[in-house]
Amino acid sequence: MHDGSGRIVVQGLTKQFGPVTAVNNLSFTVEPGSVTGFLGPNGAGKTTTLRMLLGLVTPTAGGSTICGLPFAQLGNPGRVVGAVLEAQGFHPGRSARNHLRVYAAAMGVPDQRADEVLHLVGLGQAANRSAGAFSLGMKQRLALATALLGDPQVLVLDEPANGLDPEGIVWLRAFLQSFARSGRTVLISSHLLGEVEQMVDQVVIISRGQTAYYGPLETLRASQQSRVLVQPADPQALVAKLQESGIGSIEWTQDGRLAISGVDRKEVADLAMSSGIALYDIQQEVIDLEQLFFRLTSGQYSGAPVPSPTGYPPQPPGPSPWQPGNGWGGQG
Amino acid sequence: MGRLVTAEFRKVLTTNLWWALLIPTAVVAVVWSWVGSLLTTTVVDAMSQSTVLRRFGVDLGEQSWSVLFFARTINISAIFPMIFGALALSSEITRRTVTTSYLTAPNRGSLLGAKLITYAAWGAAYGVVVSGFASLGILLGSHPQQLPDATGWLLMAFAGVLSCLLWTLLGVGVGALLGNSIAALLSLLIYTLLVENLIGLWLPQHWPGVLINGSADGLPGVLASQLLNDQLDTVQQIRLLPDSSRQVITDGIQGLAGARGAFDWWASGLIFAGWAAVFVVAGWLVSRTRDIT
Ligand SMILES: Nc1ncnc2c1ncn2[C@@H]1O[C@H](COP(=O)(O)OP(=O)(O)O)[C@@H](O)[C@H]1O
Ligand SMILES: [Mg+2]
Repeated sequence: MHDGSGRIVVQGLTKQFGPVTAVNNLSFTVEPGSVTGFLGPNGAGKTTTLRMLLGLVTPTAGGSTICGLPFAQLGNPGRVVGAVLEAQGFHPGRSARNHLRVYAAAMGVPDQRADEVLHLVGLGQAANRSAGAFSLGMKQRLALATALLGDPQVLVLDEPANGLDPEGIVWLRAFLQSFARSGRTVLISSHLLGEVEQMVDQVVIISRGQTAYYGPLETLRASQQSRVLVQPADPQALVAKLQESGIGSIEWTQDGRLAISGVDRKEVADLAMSSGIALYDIQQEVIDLEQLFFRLTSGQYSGAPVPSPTGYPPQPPGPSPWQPGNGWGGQG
Repeated sequence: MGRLVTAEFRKVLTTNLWWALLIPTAVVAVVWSWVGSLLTTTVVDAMSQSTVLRRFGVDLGEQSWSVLFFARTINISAIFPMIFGALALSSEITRRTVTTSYLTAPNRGSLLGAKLITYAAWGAAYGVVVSGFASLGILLGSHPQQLPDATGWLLMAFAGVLSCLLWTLLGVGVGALLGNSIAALLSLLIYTLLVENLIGLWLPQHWPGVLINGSADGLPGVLASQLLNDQLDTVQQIRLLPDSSRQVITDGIQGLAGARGAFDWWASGLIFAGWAAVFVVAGWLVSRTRDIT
């Protein structure tokens, strides 16, 4: 028997599709009572990871457990974990109610449960309509109803907001949060941080199949950095002064200004003043979470070296593009 | 397992495929056996009138010639339950409903097992329809004295049910092996309707009987030809023929029943059941680790 904890453990999961490494040595834990966001750009390996977790894809290496057991050993898995996956199919000719009754029979829950979950997701009126005629949003709701059929302790959702109207997204957020608050587990993937930002407690961010960040969303928020953009009369002199005073993260921006991170505007202005360097322009730039997410995962298409997995404990973004060397080389 | 079997029955009954395939099954069965037995009766009548046979006083009008096309009808109609079985798992993979099916089953083996149980029952039901409509067809097309007796009819009906059941299971196996509806249907139809007929032509005596179609056709075909041969043996003039001539008649009738080169009916049944088992096991092995992406 499973341990009833609702904990998800992913350990060293790797999947190779021929020459493509979809997931590379991925590890994370999802604790019950929380909503964990599983984030990464398209093609990062989210779907593949979730499908490995659910026993649909055979890992090349590593493994995963739900409630302490691999999926195949859960016994009656529909009663332990419910899943909404991308491209999950419905027979176009089968009505929503009949679809649910098929799987109610498979997991041994009473037929009336089919109607309960239909009402829960707001499809009560469409119970007798064929799933083939459903809109994308209605299909997502039906998929969620299917996932909830067995009253599972763990919910795994792969981009569930796709196709949902704004109202549906708000409803989903509230639903998942109350689901987690009752001590159960939610793992939800998305390629947009903003889409899940308001409902997740923990995040796992992956890029090119590897962990880029793993930890509480709060820690990630706290690591938000700001930088100061200045346009000095004598940039070389200012850089020398900044380095003298131990401020290391400086780079050139596209428009020829200096970007200095880890300081505030006043410090830079004071330093320039005391060194007698005139500043034509100075402003503070705050980097929001979405930009941070983009930075964490942007290695994917830029051809830059992949940031090494940071794993545990959570760390601020990998190799910072603001290291002096980075911006200096070509321009100095 | 009971839960999954219930779910499989619901899957079948909440969609149209089962009756969409059952209608052509019944139509083909009744038309094929009707036209076939009408043809047989006409030929037998003509032979009975022939001066040669009449001079020897041979009466060929009283034997149950109709079983020949009963057997052929079973063989042709079994295509439909085969298609039905082939779509069992493969259409779930193609339509992606297999994701949910795997998520709600203890393991992939038990889902396939539940499908085998369910589709065996459906295959038998198709067989009952095939045997029933084939009976109707020969009733319409034959002289009453050329119909089989009760035992003969029961044996033929049983062969029809068993044959359809095994074809369905073989289809389930091939569908699980290939994991794609179109691929499963095309390869099964091309092989059974074309490929084996071509290679069967070049194979020496008895070789066709170990092949898939050959053994499947042998189950009702050899049964029918044995029923008929036993009756022909009661015709004195035939009983007195030399062994070699009688062998020619026996083989000829087996050929007419569509079972050239097949082994005894029970051996054919076992060989065909073996083929079904091979595909089911292969399908199980391949579907166990197939990535559902
Ligand atoms: N069945 C498959 N065969 C080959 N490559 C695949 C397959 N499924 C996914 N991939 C590849 O694996 C990588 C990760 O895909 P996926 O897990 O779908 O990412 P995400 O869900 O994060 O968008 C992609 O490069 C994708 O092309
Ligand atoms: Mg995906």
